[in-house]
Amino acid sequence: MALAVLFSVINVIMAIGDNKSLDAHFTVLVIASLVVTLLFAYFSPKVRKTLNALTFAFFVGFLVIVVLRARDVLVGS
Amino acid sequence: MLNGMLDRYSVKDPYVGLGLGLTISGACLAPIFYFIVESVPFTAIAISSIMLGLVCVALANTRPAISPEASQMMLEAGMENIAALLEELGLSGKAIYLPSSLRDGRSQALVPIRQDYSSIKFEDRIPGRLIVRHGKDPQDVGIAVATPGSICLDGLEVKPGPTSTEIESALSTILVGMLDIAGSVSVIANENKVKVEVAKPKLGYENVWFFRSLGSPLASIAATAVCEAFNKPVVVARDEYQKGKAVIELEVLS
Repeated sequence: MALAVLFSVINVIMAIGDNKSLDAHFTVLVIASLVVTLLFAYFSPKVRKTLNALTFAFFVGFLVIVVLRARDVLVGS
Repeated sequence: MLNGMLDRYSVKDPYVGLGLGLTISGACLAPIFYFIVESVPFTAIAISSIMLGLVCVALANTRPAISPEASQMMLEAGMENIAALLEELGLSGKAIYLPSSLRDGRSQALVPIRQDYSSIKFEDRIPGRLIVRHGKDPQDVGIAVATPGSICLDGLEVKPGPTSTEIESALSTILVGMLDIAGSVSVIANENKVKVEVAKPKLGYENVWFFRSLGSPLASIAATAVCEAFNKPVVVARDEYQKGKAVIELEVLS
């Protein structure tokens, strides 16, 4: 529920801010999901493990964006 | 493949149904919004839908395999059996929660014949039987029973240490995370006294033989966690329910 509300707020704010970068959207969403899942730390160990795996997958997506951006900067320079 | 997934996770579980719905619709809409509509905000909404769906599927694991009604039925049956046993044997003394090191691998509650628990000393490991002798005196007899707390502690990855923070963390994991029977937990440990405050408890206190002897289920879980944390026997000294919170005071015996 908290994640759904937060994602909606982020999307609305970024749309109002006229942000054209999908990378920026994804990065902010990943950070929000990391914060929310870490705040609700009292899950059972089984759920914790699954959520950690999911968080890792999101983080890998974030790293891909960082690598692509770094490549663009290096190629550009 | 989708049918297999649906069967495996049982769509009757609303979290799995919602999660799969959000993930699939997000995955279908994201390329349409990005390549055809060429709208970044809409694509971001589709991506957030995928992320939300995956989290929902992960959260489906929090739902119990059996219904709360079935769990309550089994809990009440177990409690009534123990209460009948205590009443039949006339054991009205306060239960002493023993750490797993004093029993055979699992912490249990000992209900002694003696009313005054302060005079009871545990020197050796107590045999893993129902009726146990804990001393040399003929009066040193009692019954040892498993409590809700004994089973709950198995769900913890690490045994809590004897500090307030560690006990609070363990109790929060059990009461708030695993069982969802409380809003929050705070613990103050001071020498041999431990005060546990449970906010928004979903289980109440009843003035019945079982609760007077073993304490309420919340007190039982708190006592088990504290006895394991200190590795010493523990007694529920106070078990009160006030407006919106339960106040449990535990005494750690030497």
